[in-house]
Amino acid sequence: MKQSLKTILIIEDEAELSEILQDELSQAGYKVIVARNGEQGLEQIHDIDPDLILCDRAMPRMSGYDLLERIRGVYPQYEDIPFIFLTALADARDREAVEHLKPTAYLGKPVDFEEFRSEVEKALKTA
Amino acid sequence: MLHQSGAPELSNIRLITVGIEENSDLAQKIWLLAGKHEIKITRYSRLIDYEDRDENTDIIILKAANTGQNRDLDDFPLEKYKIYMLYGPDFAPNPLSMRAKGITFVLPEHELDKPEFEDIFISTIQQLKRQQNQESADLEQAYFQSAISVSPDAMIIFDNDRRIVYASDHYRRTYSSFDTVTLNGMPVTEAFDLMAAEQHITEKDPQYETARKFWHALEGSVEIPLKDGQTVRVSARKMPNNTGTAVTTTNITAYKKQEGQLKEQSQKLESLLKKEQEASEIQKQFISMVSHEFKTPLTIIDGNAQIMERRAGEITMDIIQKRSKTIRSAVSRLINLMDGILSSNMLETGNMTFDPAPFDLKGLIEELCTEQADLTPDLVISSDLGKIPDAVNLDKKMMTLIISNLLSNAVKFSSESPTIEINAELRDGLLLLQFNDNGIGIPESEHDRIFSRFYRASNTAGITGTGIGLNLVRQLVSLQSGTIKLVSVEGEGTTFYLTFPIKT
Repeated sequence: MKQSLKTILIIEDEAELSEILQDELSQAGYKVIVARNGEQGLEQIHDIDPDLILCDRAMPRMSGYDLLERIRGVYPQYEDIPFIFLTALADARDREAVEHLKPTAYLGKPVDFEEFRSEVEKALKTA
Repeated sequence: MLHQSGAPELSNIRLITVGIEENSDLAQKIWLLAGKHEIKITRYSRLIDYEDRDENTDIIILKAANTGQNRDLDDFPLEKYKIYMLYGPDFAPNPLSMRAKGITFVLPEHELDKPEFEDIFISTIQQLKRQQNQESADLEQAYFQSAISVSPDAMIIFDNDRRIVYASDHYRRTYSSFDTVTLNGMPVTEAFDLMAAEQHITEKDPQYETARKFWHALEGSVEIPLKDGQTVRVSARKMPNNTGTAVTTTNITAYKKQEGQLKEQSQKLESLLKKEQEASEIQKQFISMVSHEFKTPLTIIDGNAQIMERRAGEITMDIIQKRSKTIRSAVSRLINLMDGILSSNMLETGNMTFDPAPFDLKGLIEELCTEQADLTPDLVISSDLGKIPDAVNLDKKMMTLIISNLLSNAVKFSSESPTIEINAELRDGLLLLQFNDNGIGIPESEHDRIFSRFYRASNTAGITGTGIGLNLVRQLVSLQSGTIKLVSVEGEGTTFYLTFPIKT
């Protein structure tokens, strides 16, 4: 089945992990761009205006939390881009800490790829 | 006064009549007299019937009779009572001998009508009343003094001219000089000087001013520590009806001591609780970090497995090899992580001992560098290991943990393009090892703490880690009698200098 070529920005500091995610999403028919931390991620958002952002939380330079906080505070033009956290910080306290930033979805690591893909599809549809 | 009711008191004086016939003329006269002075009458036929005696309140009027009947008088303590003996025309007792027996007045019956008798009678009543009042006042005073003397508080009372009108025995017991002077009438300032002198408290002492202010003002309440280690609380209270000021002094040494102990204990408990809370918070953070650290390689393993599983039909040998390699590297990361935590725990519980044996250190460093480079594609490592011998007599397991921790730190806290420089040499029986990186550095103010267990530098937010690595390294170095130092500039990089004595 042919997917429309939507662009997904993966922001993940673990190269081996971003590689698998990229592989998985490319296979599903998305165009995938990878950034290594929040700072790089923000540059890419400016450059490519992605259809969806998939972001880790604990990263050097700029964390996923800091990135989303900046998007919500400084860049209202990116307000409508679905933002999914994919992070190992997955207990209740971690989730509560970002609730006010209203991420589209919050996925904990390790992630089941079927669930992962369906969350991505769902987020793109509602966007 | 003991009796505090406001109403005037009815006289409790009782008139006893003995041998006076009821309804007789005489009885009538006595009844009139008593009624006039509000005195109750009790009638007896014979003196021996009068059992309910009260020498303080009873006036006895008895009729003189012939010798037989007056025999009663011999066994009676006549002198304790006011006794009037009346006699009729048929019998006259000898007044002198009656007086000698203790009878107060001896008079003929008909004199009862005369105003002179009534005057005598009234004066008797007044005398009894005065006696009674004095006794009750004496008793009251005695009660008051006994109560004050057994009270734990000392009391001193000043009149409105601020002179002593009363001081309880405590003061005499406490201040021997109070025994040698007349306290009554002494001005408060003088009393204060005496007390201060006796306590050896002079103007130079910190408590002097507090005490002076209190005694001079005679107001409020203060705690005064004495030189013998005791503490007293003195409190002044104005007495009702503007009659003066009462000052009580209470020894609160035991209370202060308890208070001190309680405070000390509660501070101890508080600090223990705080430590416990801190430890528990650190533990929580550690567990959260460890779980995060474990989850990342597990996600890599699981992700690769999911890909291979789902694409089993279309997968090539190249992809299998690539995926397996990634899985294995994630597994080795997990093992390193576990080793680190376990070793740290073993060190904490003292279960790790230095077990030296000659091994190829150069080979070990190269092997660990290759492993690290495999995990980090951009990593550039340069090393100068030519000046170390083929075999070094150290603990290989410990050295592995030390080197792999320093290498992975250098990468983890690195810039975009990590560069590590390693130098090693043996000089004068000392192995010198140097690890230099171009990473984010450690803020200078945190150099001391960076080796503490669970401590993570303030500039590492967002970088995962457990905070046990450098602590583990330092402990492993010192178990081998080595040293570790660092030079670091934030934003430029860090160099660790390690030395180990080598036994040949």
